[in-house]
Amino acid sequence: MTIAQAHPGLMLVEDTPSLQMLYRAVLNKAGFKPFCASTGEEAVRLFSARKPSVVLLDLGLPDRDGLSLLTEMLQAAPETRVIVITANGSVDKAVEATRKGAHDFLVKPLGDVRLVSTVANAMTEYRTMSDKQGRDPAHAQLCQSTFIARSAPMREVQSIIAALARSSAPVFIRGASGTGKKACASIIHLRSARASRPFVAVDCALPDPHALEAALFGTGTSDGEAGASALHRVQGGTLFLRAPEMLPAELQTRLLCVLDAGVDPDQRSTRAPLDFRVICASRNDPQQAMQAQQLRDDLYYRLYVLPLTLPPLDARGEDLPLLAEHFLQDIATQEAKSFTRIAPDAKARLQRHDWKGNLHELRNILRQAVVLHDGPELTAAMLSALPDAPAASPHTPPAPPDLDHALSGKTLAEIEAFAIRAAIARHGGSIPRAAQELDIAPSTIYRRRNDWSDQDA
Amino acid sequence: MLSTQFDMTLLGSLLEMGGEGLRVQLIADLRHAEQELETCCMVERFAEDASTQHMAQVLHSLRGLAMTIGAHQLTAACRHAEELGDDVSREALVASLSQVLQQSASTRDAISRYGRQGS
Repeated sequence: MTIAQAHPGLMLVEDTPSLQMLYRAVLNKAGFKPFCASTGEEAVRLFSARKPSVVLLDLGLPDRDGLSLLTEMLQAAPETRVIVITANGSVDKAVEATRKGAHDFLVKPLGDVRLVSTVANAMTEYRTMSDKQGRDPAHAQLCQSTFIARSAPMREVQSIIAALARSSAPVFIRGASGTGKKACASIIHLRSARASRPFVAVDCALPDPHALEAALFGTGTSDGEAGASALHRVQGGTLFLRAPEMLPAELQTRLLCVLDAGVDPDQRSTRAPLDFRVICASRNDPQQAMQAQQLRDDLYYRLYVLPLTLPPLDARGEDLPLLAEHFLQDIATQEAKSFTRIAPDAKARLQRHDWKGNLHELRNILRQAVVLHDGPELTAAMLSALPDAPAASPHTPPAPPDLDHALSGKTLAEIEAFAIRAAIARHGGSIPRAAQELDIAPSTIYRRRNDWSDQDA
Repeated sequence: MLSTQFDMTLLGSLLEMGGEGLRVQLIADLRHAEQELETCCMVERFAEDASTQHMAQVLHSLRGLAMTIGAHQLTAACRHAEELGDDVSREALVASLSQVLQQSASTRDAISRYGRQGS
């Protein structure tokens, strides 16, 4: 498979050579490899020959009208995502272009972050269009957030992603909740040789083991029932497993057989060998899970081949205002609000916050502000969901007075039981989810519950 | 002087990203646009459709380039020339294009000197 076949094609149509050079440099830096046309005629020829999935089209071409070129491209390949570029003052033309089917428009001067995130968004949409998950704006936003990276930790992540995408070996992504692990997996897939095949995600922390088995392997032995499972939908593509250490032991064994033999031993009627790449993600340390016998050691060594660790949002200092502006614009579009910028006091307040929920929390805070207020400027007063005082250190959270009262006089074992029972209650009785929250193995909770039963008896 | 004409931070970051190749290409593109506009000025019957359309195209492209590199006064000069309309006198048009040419030359000079004088 050639590079052009392996990667979703990106065509840049820009007649000014220096701008073409500049946009190409920005896109190259973000990992995209556009091919370029300088005239409408050249664009038509390249479009027909290379069938790009995304086109960046400057509407002001010397030899033909950009809008007619847009129409011609979309008539030939309606699934193409065309992003039009226009000079400031020609926004009416850009709006007309979106009416004619353009995916988005960019107004000169183009910011590098905006250019890259718009292309990333178009790429993601193009791919997810055929994915049965359908369009997920939040996921698309998180995918883009991986490209918005000026901080050193995320630049490092970007370079690792580029290397991982070239490999076909399993990847294991670690990172706190909300750091964009799934988005990162999606990007690795989109840049890999399997990009044209499905990306199928399975949450291994599903509380119902039967539902999990059905989602991953299917439940029946007929081809029809097996065909609905992730393993069969993913054929040729990438299987994303969230929290694989949460898989029940028997399903771990079955997955290991599939990875080793390329066939599912319980799907006897299946003829074709299974072909897919695995990308796992978890906020837990898989090595600790293995040591705690939560994750089979042989499965650990099959899955934990190429590691990638995502930094928390607090470690992406200079990315925060860029991410906030990017999320704000996307959320404002979704909510039909007119927010266009963030006031300095709001930026300062966002910078002060301790983002335990990372990108998810940032997006939620901004969505609350957008829904409850009107633009065009987001001010600090609109960020009422953020606490007034700087957040306390995550390492030494002071106990609220009522909690302090509830725990006073109790033994350590009683406090542990209190914490475990509370976590189980918070997760509707799900022990795997409670264990994940407490960062312990489910077997630990089961053992503790047995101990409590013995004591109660 | 330059600080009011240019966003030197923007220009600097672009030149760092695009390197010497971009610097050379920017200068070439500006010079090419100037030559096109000079030709338009020399055309006796500049109001002919083909000539005005070409001039509008050149001005539009030049404005896009100027905005991208943070050349504020060149952007303004291009916009002024673009907005003159069809019924403008030849003298007014030539005067406006002269402003564009002057700002373009000034921009070329700034790009040429950027980084070589520690600016």
